[in-house]
Amino acid sequence: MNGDWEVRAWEACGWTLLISVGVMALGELYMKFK
Amino acid sequence: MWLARESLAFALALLAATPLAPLILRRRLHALEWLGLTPAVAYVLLMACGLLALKGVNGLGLILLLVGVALTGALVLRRRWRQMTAGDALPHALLLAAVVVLAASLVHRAYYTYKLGAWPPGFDPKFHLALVRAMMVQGGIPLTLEPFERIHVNYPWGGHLAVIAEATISGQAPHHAFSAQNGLLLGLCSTAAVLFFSWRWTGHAVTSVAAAAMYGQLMHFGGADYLFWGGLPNQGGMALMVTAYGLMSQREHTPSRRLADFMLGMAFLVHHHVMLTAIAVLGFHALVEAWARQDRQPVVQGVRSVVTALLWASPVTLVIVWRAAEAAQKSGALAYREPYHWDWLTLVKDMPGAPALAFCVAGIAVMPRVLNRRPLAPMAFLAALVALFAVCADLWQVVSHLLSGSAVQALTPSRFLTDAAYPIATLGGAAVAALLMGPRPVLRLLAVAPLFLVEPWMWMQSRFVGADRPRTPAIEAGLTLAGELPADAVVVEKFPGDEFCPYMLGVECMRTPRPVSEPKRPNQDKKLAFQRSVLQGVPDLPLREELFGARPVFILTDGNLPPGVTPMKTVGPLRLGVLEMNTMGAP
Repeated sequence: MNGDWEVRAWEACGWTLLISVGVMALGELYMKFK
Repeated sequence: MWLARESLAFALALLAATPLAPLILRRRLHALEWLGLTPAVAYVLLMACGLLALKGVNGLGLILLLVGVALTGALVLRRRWRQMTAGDALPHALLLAAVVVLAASLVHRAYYTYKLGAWPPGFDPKFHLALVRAMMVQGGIPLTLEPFERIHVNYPWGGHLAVIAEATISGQAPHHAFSAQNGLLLGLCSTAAVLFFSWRWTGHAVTSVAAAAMYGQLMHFGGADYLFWGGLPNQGGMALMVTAYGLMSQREHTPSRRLADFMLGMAFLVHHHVMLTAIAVLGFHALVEAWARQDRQPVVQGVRSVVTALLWASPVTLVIVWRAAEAAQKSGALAYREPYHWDWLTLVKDMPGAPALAFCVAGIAVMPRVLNRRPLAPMAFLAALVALFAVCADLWQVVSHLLSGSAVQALTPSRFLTDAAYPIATLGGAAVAALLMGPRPVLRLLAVAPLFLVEPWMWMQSRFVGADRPRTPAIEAGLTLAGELPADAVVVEKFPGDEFCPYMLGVECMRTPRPVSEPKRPNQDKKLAFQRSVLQGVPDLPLREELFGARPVFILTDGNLPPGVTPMKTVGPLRLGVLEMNTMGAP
């Protein structure tokens, strides 16, 4: 392992990905039912 | 034949770039680094050659220059080789695999580039080739789009320089170079850039070669699809940006850092959407790293790199900054309606394609185990791009609908998912590596290989069937008129494929194709009204006087010349006539 910071950074990117996909899903739903 | 000539011209640039890569980095390169870095250096060399071509250096001069660079570089490298520190050796089988992967990525690209022909499909090439012609007519960097429109150009022109250079070397018209670069040669640069980026950030040879295979074979939008819509600047810009990002893995190595900043600047010079993407991705990477390490040094280094790159690209960035407010108001950049509809199924099917997406998700899961570490760059690259898409597409759409009742997107958001192909390839490469590295590797390879060999052909054939291909008899005929009309001529055009008219003729036409990021044409409505009046046989003379003064007006059409037009010449299906000054106008 290259240190704990890589784990923290990787997880931060993972959360960013998840939140972004959530925003995309909510946006799609809004446009469908607006 | 035309594709072979263009490929030879690019091969010459590759030859010149080969000794340059280790000389610039001042050390013996790892084989994967050398393979991965050389095409990007060759592309930048071509951009430089384009400047010389615009200043009058002919094809022979450029050939001699590139041969001279290759020979001098080889001699200097031979002399310095012993003093250079040696890199790690790569097993021959893996080196062979990397070469095979790079070559394989060219096979389907070459086939469909040749099958489509030298005239590139889609709307974008019509604008890019008009800009290429404007640069050739002006003999330099284009601050305006004259002779087609008296309006400024804030579109980056670095990729257009490479098109001009290659066309000058091959001795063929620039659309040949455009199609060859966009369909085939930049595919090589991009696949090599993924190989380089993956090696630099993972240090894992199998993952890197697999990532290159992912990009070369499986990637749809952001990969082989560039051919079908003409996204040459995006492809060239991303190849350079991904290379620069790879170089940034060793920021403490001064030659690497300097070359990274330079390559990033060249990426900015090729495409402003790539500039935006790169600043966002590198900024996100720096912020996440600084937060995770509790150290602001990554942010300082990131800012320094971006500022240096902006300085390298200053001929374009100054214009963009100068015109940013106008572009934001008058262009459709912040109020864009994507013609491309992305429902979830389309996202999976097109961007990047179902197999690549599956490998990517698996790669995120297994990369820490395969590498025994978690390299930040590929994950930060992907996360930043998906976040940009979510904000510029979905969030912007919802907010604009709530505020104004009209749902629009910002900054051509689908392009962010196009760019995601590059980190997806690296992450997916880890999954492919995990599959290959168990017991009985040959059997595992045989199980995976059919997907990589068959899928690109299926995808490209499906895109080929629906491709918007130019009708070549008329535009081929029109190209023969280049140089025959006076420099101040105005042409009223009406034939299939007439969007290529500015490129073909090099004089002002009624319609100049423009990308959405550019401000709208001020006289477009008037020019179209004049075009209608001429084609209906009742030319609007006051409008002619207002728009063109005493300049000669020609008509180029595949139909009958309207009344009042004196026939001059017939070429193929096209008729050329001149509108007399004393023609009676509309009552």
